[in-house]
Amino acid sequence: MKRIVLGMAALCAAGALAADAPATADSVQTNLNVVWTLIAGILVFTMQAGFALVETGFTRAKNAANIMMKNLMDFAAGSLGFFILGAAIMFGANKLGMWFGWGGLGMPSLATGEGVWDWTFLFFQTMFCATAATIVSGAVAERIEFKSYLIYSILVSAVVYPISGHWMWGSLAGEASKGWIEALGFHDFAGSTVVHSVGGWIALAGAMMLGPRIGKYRHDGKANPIPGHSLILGTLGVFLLWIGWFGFNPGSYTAGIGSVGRVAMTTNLAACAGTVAALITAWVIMGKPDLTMTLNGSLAGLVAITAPCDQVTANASVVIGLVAGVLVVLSVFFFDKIHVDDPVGAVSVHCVNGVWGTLAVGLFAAPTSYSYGNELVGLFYGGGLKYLGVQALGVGVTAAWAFGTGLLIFFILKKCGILRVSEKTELKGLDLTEHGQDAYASFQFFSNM
Amino acid sequence: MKLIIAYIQPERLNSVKQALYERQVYKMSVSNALGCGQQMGYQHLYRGAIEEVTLLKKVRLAIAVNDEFVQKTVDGIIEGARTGDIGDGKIFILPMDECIRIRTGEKGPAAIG
Repeated sequence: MKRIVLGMAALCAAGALAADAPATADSVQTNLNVVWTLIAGILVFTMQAGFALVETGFTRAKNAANIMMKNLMDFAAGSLGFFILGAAIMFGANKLGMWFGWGGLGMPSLATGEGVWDWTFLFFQTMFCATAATIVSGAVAERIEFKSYLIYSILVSAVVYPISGHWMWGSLAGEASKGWIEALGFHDFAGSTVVHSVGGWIALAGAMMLGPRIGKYRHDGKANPIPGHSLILGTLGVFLLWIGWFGFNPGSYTAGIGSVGRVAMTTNLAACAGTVAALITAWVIMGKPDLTMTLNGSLAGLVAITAPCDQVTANASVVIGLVAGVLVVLSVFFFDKIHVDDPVGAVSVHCVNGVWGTLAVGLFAAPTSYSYGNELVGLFYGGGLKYLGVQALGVGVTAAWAFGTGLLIFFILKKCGILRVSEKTELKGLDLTEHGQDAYASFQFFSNM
Repeated sequence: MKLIIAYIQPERLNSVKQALYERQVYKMSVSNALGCGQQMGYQHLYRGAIEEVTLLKKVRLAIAVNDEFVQKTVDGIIEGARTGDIGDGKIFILPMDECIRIRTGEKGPAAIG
């Protein structure tokens, strides 16, 4: 209790300092918003650790250090790229109609802005950008050349993500930067499309351009399993991502208000429903309760609820999660069938369910909307096809943009001959060849795949 | 009856298995091994310091065969393991006195079967 009182006192003091005036209810609320958004941003950063562990757990020991390195560098290089160029494009005032924003390199306007809030906002948005960039790492794992991955990370964080982000989220920084898709009424609360399907589409482009790992598909066309080296690390990674999502979705109010708890609840319900649905789907199809598919189901539920989490009822969030859990398993089988080798299921989780979650807004958005001034109602509540149509447009345009630019980036890297490692490197493992290091020095593994 | 022991690069194991399979050699025992030969190790970089690794990770195959399978097995191992680089490995062929299948008590060539 004492701690809470002290905490409140500190907030008031900060408010007083910032406004250079006595604390008011407004200044306390402002600081509460800042603090919650900052904490949520730190939780979103936790997802970086989650992605790193999921991806390394689902792949082989001989590439573990390489995957750690990629996850570290897409965050570090991507954050710099987003600060220098990306934020200005995404949240700068409109330049070319509503297609493009520009706020100057390194967002100079922030320094003279209203003080505390702008930087918290930029911090929060940087974490989101980094999430989109890191999704791709899993799909291209075990065969992409490290320097190619570095180039890709910077391009996506500095250009690709910010441009489509501007179309859908520009107005978060004010009406002057409103994007053209959101102006039509498109709603993506925390980024099923803006973050996850952008990452997912680029991941698909990367996996297709790279081709499958050596030994993934047999002569008869059937898929060979290439088991991950630690399902324990993979599971821990999913738990970390799940924790991070409690910042991702509830934090996207960027305000310390009552609705935060409700969104935390819809988020959790969808994740649990996705987990259960994936378990059952995998069990029925494969005859065994498969841990890796079930873990994909948790993430699928989380991705799907990210767009609609603020506009749907708790009951609807369960339905959205259940559908996501079924979709992700079927999608993993589908991509194996068409020989797109995605070692961790990144495309099935982030792309397929990013699309599903965004469309789900148009189906399930309840009339008693808790969100800001969105008057559209979903199809299942008698809102007709209009909302669904707008959502589908956003999905389609993002798909074309992200998949198209992804293909272009990876195609150019391929033409430069630096996209994929040599056969010998791939067989020996990227740790020893690309980095000259061993993630598990002094352990011995069979690295025969 | 011969016992064929081969040391190969770990990453060649799959193609060796494939080449042996194509020659109807389905039985083998495989273990991890550390060793050094002409390859002289490699350099392992850790925090700026270079470590000379002299014992390399290898895979050891042990395959017991009847005489008519010796050449096929050797051919398969070479086809699967050979890259032309130093470090591809070696094959040793040893005479084998006896082979007994534990389950049935069968002896000799029939036990290799």
